[in-house]
Amino acid sequence: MTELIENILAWLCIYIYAGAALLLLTGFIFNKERLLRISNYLIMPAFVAHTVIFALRWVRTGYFPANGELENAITGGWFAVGFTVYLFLRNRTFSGLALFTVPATLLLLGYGMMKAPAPLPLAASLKSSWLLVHVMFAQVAFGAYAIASGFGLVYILKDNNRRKGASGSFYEKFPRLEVIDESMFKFVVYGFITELIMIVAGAIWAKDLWGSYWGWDPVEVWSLVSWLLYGLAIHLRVTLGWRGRRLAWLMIILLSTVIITYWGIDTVVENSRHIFGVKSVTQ
Amino acid sequence: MTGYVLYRKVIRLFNNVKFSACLIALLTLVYFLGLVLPQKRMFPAREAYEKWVDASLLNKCLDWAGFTDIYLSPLTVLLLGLFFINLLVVTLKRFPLILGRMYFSGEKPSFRVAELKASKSATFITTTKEAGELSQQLGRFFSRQRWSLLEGKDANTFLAVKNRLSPAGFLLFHLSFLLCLAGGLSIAYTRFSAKLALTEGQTFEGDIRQFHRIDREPKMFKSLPSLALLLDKVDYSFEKGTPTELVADLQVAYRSDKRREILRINEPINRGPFTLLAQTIGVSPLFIVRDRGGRELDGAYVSLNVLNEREDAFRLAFDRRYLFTVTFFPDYLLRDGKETTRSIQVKNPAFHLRIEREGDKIYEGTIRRGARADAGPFTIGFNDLRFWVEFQLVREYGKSPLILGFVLAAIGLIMRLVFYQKRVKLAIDGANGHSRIYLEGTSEYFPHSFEDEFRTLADKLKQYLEG
Repeated sequence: MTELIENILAWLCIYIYAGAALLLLTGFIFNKERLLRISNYLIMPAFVAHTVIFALRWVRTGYFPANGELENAITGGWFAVGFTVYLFLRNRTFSGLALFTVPATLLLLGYGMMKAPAPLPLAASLKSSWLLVHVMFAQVAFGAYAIASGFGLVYILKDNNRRKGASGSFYEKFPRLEVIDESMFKFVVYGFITELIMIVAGAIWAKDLWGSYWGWDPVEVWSLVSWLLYGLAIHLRVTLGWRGRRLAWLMIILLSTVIITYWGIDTVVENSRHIFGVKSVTQ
Repeated sequence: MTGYVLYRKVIRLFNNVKFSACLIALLTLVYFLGLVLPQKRMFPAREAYEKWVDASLLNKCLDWAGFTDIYLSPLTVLLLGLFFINLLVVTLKRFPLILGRMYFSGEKPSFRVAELKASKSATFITTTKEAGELSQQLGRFFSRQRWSLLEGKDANTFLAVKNRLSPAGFLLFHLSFLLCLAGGLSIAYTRFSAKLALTEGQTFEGDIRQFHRIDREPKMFKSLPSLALLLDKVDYSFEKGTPTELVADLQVAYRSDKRREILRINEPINRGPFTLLAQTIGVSPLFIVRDRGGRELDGAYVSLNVLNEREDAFRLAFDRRYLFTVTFFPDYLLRDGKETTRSIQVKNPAFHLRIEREGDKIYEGTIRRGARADAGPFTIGFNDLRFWVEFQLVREYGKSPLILGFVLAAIGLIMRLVFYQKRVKLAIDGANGHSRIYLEGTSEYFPHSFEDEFRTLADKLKQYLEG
């Protein structure tokens, strides 16, 4: 029964997110502010369903949902959409953020559903208290970076409009450029700190699981690379005064490093220690 | 003089933020290359790596430059060295500046009443109170709001600071890198890591020859403290082909302290500088070989990696020309003429056995516990079946500075970027019952977002003074 409810809700989520993503795209391309508003009101019930799936999966399996593609998509997407909804509820002018987070969550959820929807037994290698800390901070970092990229995109669109000297109320409804710029930086900082905690928690866990804090595993190296690059972005902003468009573009580009770290490596590389399952104990 | 000029230039270079940014970018590039270029440790054997090196000139060049072990290559070590010198120089050079930013340098904040009055972003509060009384009230108000109030250089000027100690986060964060470096280097130079396979009932008495693979030999503190192990029992469980539990019951003697310990995946045994982890599990059947007359020729527990229907092969000492290839069925079942297992639990164990002599197959069949396979010149069977576990034994020093470095990095970042400094300049102007307090607020990193908070703070101050 729980499985059925979970499946129905998951597909409901996917369809609503798909509809919202379409409305968001149409709204942005054709400057229809009303469509953005409708999409945000669609996202909220979908987020409630998403929360129920997240909770059901946790209760059903007994562990923090971080095992396999679908659970990672549920958790990662939950944080990304959660931040979007939270910001929208705090400030309605932040409605455009969903343009980045909702399509990303939709693709992740769809991929997860097609790959392995049923819960997998938790491998011995994942039975650790560090799982929750490590994965939760990783997903919070992803959510924060996704929001920073969303702010980056909104900044560029609004700034393009300003540069063209185009009039109209569509982009006027978004916050001032300086506010978008600061909000983007806030989320970079948030992601940077949570990613550091994720890396540190992972290193401590790795010592218990693999015997060394750092093993130059592709996933470890990519997470370090993305962390260093975001650190560089913070340095550029704080000490060299990079802001506005330059920082916005940087945020959009840097999100790719996080996506590669979380979802890209395991599909390309075979020798990663971050692929958990049968071979983690019997090989 | 020339030496001094050169020294100044070098220090200026290492103190340059652009230089730091370049180093971070170069290190990122090196780490990225490590993912793209073939790495020595990815090859299954040394011979395979050597063959790859000989295959082309490019491979030879990569090997010569150390790029096939890129994380320890001279270039990476050089970049890391430069990065840490850069960190050290920046930290030392910024120290007086940071003290100043925390207002510990002894200098009072300096700004003029006229400046504040003329500032467009300043606001003011009108009051009938005298300057002396107001300064006392300001002190009480900001203390209640958890702001520090500092007296300015000029009379009747003040600076209120929220998160006064925030700049110290910079020092902690940079210091954390140095601690991580110290811990990391200590671990790299003292780390001993080796693999040890023990079958149930087998002991390890500290003899280094018992390790079947030494992954890392220490460059310092080469002798290992005494450690002895006895593997009593192993238990494991699988669900849908996924290993969900591995429990090893051991007796561990470290120096004179002997204790019984339970080891699980994710729950290693830590004794002194040693960490013992379980890596792999397998079965160890006791194979006994007899000649045609029934005389025992050989007998040994053979550690096989055959769980999950994987194939493994071995040779026995009595005649090394014979190759035995086996597949294991923990709970043997013949279904539709096909050999399989009911479950992964060992209930009715059987081995599918193929025996070859110098490439020629001389026997193929399945043997169960107690049964014997007739291979012509000899018979072979297994009477007992135990489990073996591959342990990883690690000895290293340097954990404390590393963990302290991790903690300081997190604290430093949070202090600097979450609890960033907010400042409000205040000046009292006027006398004889007609005073004005001028206020101007700003914050690090987020001055625009601070505008609302500043307005709220000014309103609260007004209410406080009126009340």
